[in-house]
Amino acid sequence: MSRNGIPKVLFFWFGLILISILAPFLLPSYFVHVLIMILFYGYLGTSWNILGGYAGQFSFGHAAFFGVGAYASTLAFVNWNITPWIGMVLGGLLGMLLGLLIGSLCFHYGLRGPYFALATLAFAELLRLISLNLDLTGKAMGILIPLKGNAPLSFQHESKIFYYFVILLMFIGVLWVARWIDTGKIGDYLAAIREDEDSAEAIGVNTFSYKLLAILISGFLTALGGTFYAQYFLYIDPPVTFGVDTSIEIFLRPIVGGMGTVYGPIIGSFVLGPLGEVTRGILGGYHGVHLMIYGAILVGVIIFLPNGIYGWLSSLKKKH
Amino acid sequence: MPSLKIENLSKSFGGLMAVNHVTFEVGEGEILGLIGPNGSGKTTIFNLISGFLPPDTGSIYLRGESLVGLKPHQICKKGIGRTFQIVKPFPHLSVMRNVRTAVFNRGKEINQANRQSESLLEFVGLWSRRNELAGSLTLAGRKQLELARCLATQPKFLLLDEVMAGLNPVEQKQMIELVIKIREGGITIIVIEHTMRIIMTVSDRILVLCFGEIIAEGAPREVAQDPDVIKSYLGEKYRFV
Repeated sequence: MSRNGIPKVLFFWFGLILISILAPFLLPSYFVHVLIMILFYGYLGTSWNILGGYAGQFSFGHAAFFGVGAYASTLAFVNWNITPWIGMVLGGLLGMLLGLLIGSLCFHYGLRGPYFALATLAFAELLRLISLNLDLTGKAMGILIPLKGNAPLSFQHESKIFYYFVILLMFIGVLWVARWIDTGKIGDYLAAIREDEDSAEAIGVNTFSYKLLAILISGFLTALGGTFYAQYFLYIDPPVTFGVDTSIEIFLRPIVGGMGTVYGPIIGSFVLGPLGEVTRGILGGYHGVHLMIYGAILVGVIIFLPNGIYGWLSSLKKKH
Repeated sequence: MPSLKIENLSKSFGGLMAVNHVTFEVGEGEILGLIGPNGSGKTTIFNLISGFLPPDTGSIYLRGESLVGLKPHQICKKGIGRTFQIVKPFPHLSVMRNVRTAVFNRGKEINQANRQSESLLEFVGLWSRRNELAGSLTLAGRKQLELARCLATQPKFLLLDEVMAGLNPVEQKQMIELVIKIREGGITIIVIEHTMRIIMTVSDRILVLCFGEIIAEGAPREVAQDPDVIKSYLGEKYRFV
C-alpha cells in the first residue's frame, strides 16, 4: 500500500494502460511497428501456449491455423467483398474446424510428444503445398489485398496507430482467455494432462475432450492472428503463412518466456522482438543472421532456463 | 447388494493368461485384501476395474451398474478411485494443486476446491507441505498425496495398489490408520499389499491369486493356514500371529 492508501498495483496498471495508449502517438512510426510486432507475436505465442504450454501438446505446425485465418479472410474479401472483420471470424471458425480435424485424429490415435509435433508440421506443410498449387490461392504469387486507403471498416488504414490498437485489443483479449484458463478448472485439467495422462484419467479428467478443447481454442485464436497479419501487410503467400519459419516464430516466444504461464509469451516477445530488430539492423547485410541468434538464444534458454524467463524470475522471487 | 461384483473376468497378454476367469464380490463397507506372488494378476485386475485395460471376457458391476467398456475418467465419475503401484503425482505442480485437480471431479468452484484440498491434505498429513512441488516429496509423501488425490474425487470405492510398500514402520502404521479411517467414512476398499502383517491387520477378507486364478478366499486367519497358499506364496515357515 502506498501512503494515500491506494494499492501500488493499481498505480502499476494505471501507468501501464496510460503508456499503452500514449505510446503510439509519441513514438516514431518505426517503433510503433516494432511494438505492433511484439504484441502480434505475443498474441500468437499466447494462443499457441494454450495447446503447447498448458496442455503440453507441442505443436510444430501452428502456421496451419495462422495461414487458414489469413487466407480465409483474404479470399472472402477479394472474391466476395466480405469485410475482413467478418472474414476474421470465419477464419477463426475454420481454424477451429482444422483443430477439430487434427485433434480428433491425433488424440484419438494417441499421438504424443514428438509424434504429435510432426503430425502438426505435416498438416502445415500439406496446406502450404495446396496453397502453392491452387489457382484460388494465387499459387506461389500469393494474394495482394486491394488497397482501400483509410477504411477501418475494411480493416485497413494508412496509419500504423490503427493496427496498433487493433492488436493491443486482440492481445488483451487473448491474455484474458489465458488468465481465465490459468486460474480455473480447465487450467488444472490441462496441467494434469501435461504432467501425466494416466493419472489425469484416473482422477476423472476426460483427457481426449480437454486436449481437443485446447486445440480448438488455440486454433481459433491463432487464425484470428492470421487475418491481422494479412491486413497489416496486405499481402500473403504460401511460405509466409504456412511455412515452417512462421511455426517456429510462433512457439519461440512462449518457450523463451515460459511455457504454460500467462505472462511467459509476452515476456518472450518483448525480449526476442527488439533483439531480432537490432540484429537485423546491425547485420542487415547478412541474411538470416537473426535466425542464428534466435537459435543460440533458444539453446541457451533450454539449457539454463528450462522454465523460461518467467519461471526463472518467479524462482528468484521465491528465494527472497 | 454387493458394492462390486466381478464375474468370469479374463485378460490375456499374448499367450499369457494374466487374469483367468476370476469371479468375486466385495460387500458394502468391506476391506478386501488381494495378495499373491509377483505377476499373479493383482494389478491387472485393478487396471480392468478402473478401465485402463479392456477385459477379454467377463463383467464388472458397481452397485449393479456395468463398468465394462467405460473409459477411466468415466469410471472415476461413477465413484471408483485408484492409486498406482508406481505413484504418479503431477511432479511439477504443487501438492495443493495436485489435489485440487482431483477435487474438480465433482465441481468447478475454485474457492470451494481450495478448501476441500486443504482439508484432505490435513487428513493425510501433508498440509504443511502443500506449497511444495509434488516431485520434491519423499516416497511416503508421494503415497500420501496419491491417496489424498484419490479421495478428492469423492469415491465410493477405492483400489489401493501397494500404498504401503517402501514405507518405514512408522509411516506404515500411519497409513494403516488412514485406510481404516477411510473405511469408517463409508468407503469400500480393495487393498493390494505384500507385507503380510499389514494385509492381515487391515483386511476383513482376503483373496489369494496365483497365475491369474483365485486359489483361496476367506478370513485372514483361514487363508494364512491354507496349504495351497503356504505352498505358492507364504512359504513353509510363515506363521500367522
